Amino acid sequence: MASVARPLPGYAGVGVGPPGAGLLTWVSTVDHKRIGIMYVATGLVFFAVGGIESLLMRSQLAQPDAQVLSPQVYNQVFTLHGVTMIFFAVMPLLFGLANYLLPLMIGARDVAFPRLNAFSYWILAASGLFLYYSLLSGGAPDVGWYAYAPLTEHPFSPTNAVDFYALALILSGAGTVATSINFVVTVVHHRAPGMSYNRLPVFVWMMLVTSALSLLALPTLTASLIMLLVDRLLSGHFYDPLGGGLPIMWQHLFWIFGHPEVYILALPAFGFISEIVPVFSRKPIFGYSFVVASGIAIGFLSFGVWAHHMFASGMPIIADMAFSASTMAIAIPTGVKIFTWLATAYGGAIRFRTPMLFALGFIAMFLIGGLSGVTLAVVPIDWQVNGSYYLVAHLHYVAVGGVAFAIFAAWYYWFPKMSGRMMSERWGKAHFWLFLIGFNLTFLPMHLLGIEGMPRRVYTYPAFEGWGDLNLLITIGAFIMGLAVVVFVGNVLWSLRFGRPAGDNPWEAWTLEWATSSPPPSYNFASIPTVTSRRPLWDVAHPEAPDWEHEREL
Amino acid sequence: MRRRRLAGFAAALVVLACWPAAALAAPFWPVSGQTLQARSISWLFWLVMAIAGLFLLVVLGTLLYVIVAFRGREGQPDPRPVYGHLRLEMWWAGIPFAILVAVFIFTVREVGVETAIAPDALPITLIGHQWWWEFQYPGAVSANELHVPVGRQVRLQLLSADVVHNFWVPELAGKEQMVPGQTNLWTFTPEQPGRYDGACAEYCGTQHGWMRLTVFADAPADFDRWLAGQGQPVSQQVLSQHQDALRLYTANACGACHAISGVSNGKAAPDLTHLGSRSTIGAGVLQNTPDNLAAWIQDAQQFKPGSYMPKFRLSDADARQLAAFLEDLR
Amino acid sequence: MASYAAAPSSAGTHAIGPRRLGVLLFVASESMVFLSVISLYSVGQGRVDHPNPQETLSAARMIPFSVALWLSSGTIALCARRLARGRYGGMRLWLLATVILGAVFLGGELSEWLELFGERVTAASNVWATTFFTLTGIHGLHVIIGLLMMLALLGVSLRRPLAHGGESGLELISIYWHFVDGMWVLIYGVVYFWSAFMAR
Repeated sequence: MASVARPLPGYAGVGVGPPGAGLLTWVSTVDHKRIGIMYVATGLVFFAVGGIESLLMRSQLAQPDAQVLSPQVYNQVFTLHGVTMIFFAVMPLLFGLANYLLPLMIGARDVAFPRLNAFSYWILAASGLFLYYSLLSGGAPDVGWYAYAPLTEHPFSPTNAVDFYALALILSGAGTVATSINFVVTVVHHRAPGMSYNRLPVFVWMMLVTSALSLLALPTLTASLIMLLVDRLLSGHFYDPLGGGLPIMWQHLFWIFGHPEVYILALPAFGFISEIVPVFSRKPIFGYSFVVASGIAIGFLSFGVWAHHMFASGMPIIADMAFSASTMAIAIPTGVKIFTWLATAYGGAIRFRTPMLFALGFIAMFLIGGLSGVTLAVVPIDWQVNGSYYLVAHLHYVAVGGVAFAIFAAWYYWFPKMSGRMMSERWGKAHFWLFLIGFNLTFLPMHLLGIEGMPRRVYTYPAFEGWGDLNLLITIGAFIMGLAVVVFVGNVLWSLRFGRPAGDNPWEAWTLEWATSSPPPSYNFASIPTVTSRRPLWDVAHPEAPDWEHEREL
Repeated sequence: MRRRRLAGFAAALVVLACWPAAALAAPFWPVSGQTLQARSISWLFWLVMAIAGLFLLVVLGTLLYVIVAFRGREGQPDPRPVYGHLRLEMWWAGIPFAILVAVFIFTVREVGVETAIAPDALPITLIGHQWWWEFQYPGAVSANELHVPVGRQVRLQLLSADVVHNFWVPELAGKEQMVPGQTNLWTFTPEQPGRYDGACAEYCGTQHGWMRLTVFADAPADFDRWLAGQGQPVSQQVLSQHQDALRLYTANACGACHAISGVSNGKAAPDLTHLGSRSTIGAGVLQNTPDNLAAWIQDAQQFKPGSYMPKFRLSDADARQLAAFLEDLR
Repeated sequence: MASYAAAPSSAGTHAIGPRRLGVLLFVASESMVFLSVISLYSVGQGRVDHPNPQETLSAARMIPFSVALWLSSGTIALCARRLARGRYGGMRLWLLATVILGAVFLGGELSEWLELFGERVTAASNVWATTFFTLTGIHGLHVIIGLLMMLALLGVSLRRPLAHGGESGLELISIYWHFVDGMWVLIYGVVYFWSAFMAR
């Protein structure tokens, strides 16, 4: 029966521990765990940079007619904030965690193409630096992260900033496509014996769907950026109405990439939550097949909803209606997941450790973001609040309340595996409550500002509109979030040195990554384990009631 | 331990209290749409908000119940595993589906209301510029302040001279992009006389923040009078009164960008033929007073950095003279 | 630090090996680049006066060059078959034939570009010309990369016997090459055939 691998004595800690921790061994590594850690560290650095940018913006917006930042600087800062957070903070954090976890979770020794994996990381890191190099060459891009043409065309953006934007995203896209290929091939070819698709951890399933989305969506962005560069560098006319081009096509192409991108960020987060909620509720995930199937459904539907970003762009009404319907349809598999997590926790014996707090926070905050998303699918409501602070609120309830909460949950959950040490619970809880309060103070009032008519991406606003008080509240909330992140970083640095040793399986979890030492040896498993169910370690602990007896119960 | 738990609940209460506190902190627009179309949006908004709010309360309530009722005790054995329940899963996919079908039906109905155009609708062409608005009426041109008659549907043709802009006056209707190379249509039917503020809602470059506009919904007679006045050229009397200012206007090449009917016909910047009749300058950045106008002429960059209006090296006296002339263009 | 990739997997036997699957995923991804540009080409049809495809392009002129490219899909398949039978001489001959056919196609493409430049049609002329040069340019770049890989393989084959089978370098390149040829079917259909005969 289940012969779960234990590392050979004396070999534990060879992977990421002190032996061979010289800088050069990191630069030259092809070990998925080290690459994963480099991804995560890079993502965290960019997360801090993007966070500082948001505090700069909030300082400018705290009061009407403020002059903390000039409009030119403000516009660069909000563009950098968006591009940084999406492409160079959240993507590396998600893909880095996946890099670390995916081979471990399926009982593999590494990803299918380790050198390609190193290439993916280095090109991503380089593209992030490339974006910021624009600051030294005459200014950062100031066109917004979705960079609507023709503002990006040469007459309106004559400096090189937009070229840096385009090239940085093309490069990072190449890295993401390479990683996605790696993930898919790894899952198809390197699963441990017995690890059938029906037994894959939900997170691995979500990464499969995410990889498929990346493979098909990112090239669309690459193509639209290549066409933008042709316009800018070769005097082309793709998005230039004077040469017969159609600026609206940028919007279509960008969002054909951009909406799947939302799910590229959200599906791994769903995967994290689907791993964490069961472990801390001490129950298996409720309706495994339903969770996986809804993830796949989201993957398919995500290619059919892009134009809901464009209800106000002059499309025919019939198109508006079609995309409204498809957007409402995608809300259903998303909502199903929330019910699933609730049903998993229901009847459990919940352990309120920091990962679970962030997971529960995720459920509540993502629920709000999802519901405001449904209101935006109602075309007339979108006509009213699209392009306003309501939209800023909605997207941050999804991207921060959803994805960032899930990343923090995952961080607290897997940090012991990656470092061999526990994070401080006390500071973890302080981080959680500060972040939750700061987050809601920041983004909840934004709904109201948007409804009252405050457009997004304005560098200031007139006093007579009476938006000053809410904006001040938002700025206070943003600084509370900043404080929370400082607590978090302090906790990470403290725990790396002084954290309690974790042991192999501190959370009494059930998936394969907890069957090896913390941190795992570079070869992951001394002998490849044989898997008999969705919860291999449960089977070991409960030979009297193994999980595989219930595999047909969904 | 107990005290810490209490602190946790207190913090949760603070977070929950943010919702109503934030809602009460500000006047809430969608209660008071001022056009047929805005009322339709408003009605739909509240309907959907009510449904979403109910849904939110039920799910958050369940979450809170689960958190309180299924808190694990120290040393408690793992509960009996439950793997799923197909019928339950069907129900919780089916109920949201039914709700959304209903919402969609209402959406289709209200979109019909909001986009219907009457045959006698007043056509106005709006052209977005970096960073101001041009309004073309039958027989008149204006900028940054849109006058419309109460009780008659207005049919806007939205164009752009450069990049993508977005016309949004929150109290009158939703918004619509102004995309270069294509003509978008938008419509609203003002019901109450008044002044309504709006702004560009699509990021359009450096001064997107000060691309604001004001809509005046006038009684029909007032509107007709206003439109007739805007159609008039500058009177010879005004021109002869301001010979010196006119020379300054020409010497500084104001007319290369600005139009004054009978004097210059620049197209790159707002038409000044009736500047004196407007309440703001610089697309909302300043009140239209002679002092503000003089300061604006001397150094617009101070008020609207990055705009295309350059600094002019005019003495205070010259600037005031020019401003006095422009204020007389009513 | 050693890597432990490609650990034996017992999750079942697969018809498609890992490298082959990787290349298939890669070309699926690349096809989205082409589809994006082609979709813009289709939308932009008929929106321009001059230059336009009806006046500028000749569907017949590109036929021999296109046929050369499509034939090269056949020659690379023959090449793989020779390799599988261990007949290295024939393999090299067919590989060389594939390279030559690809080069003929590139030459035809290049001469068409030069002819258009001579008529002062460039990427800066109008949206149709921009799209035409971008689309054929991206495709041409893919052809060049394919030819370079084949030449490298040819060089290797002169020094040591090539691996054969589904995961061999030749098989992987031929997947890519079939993809490049297939894309040209689409591009020829949309750019030359459709716009020359159907539009307007």
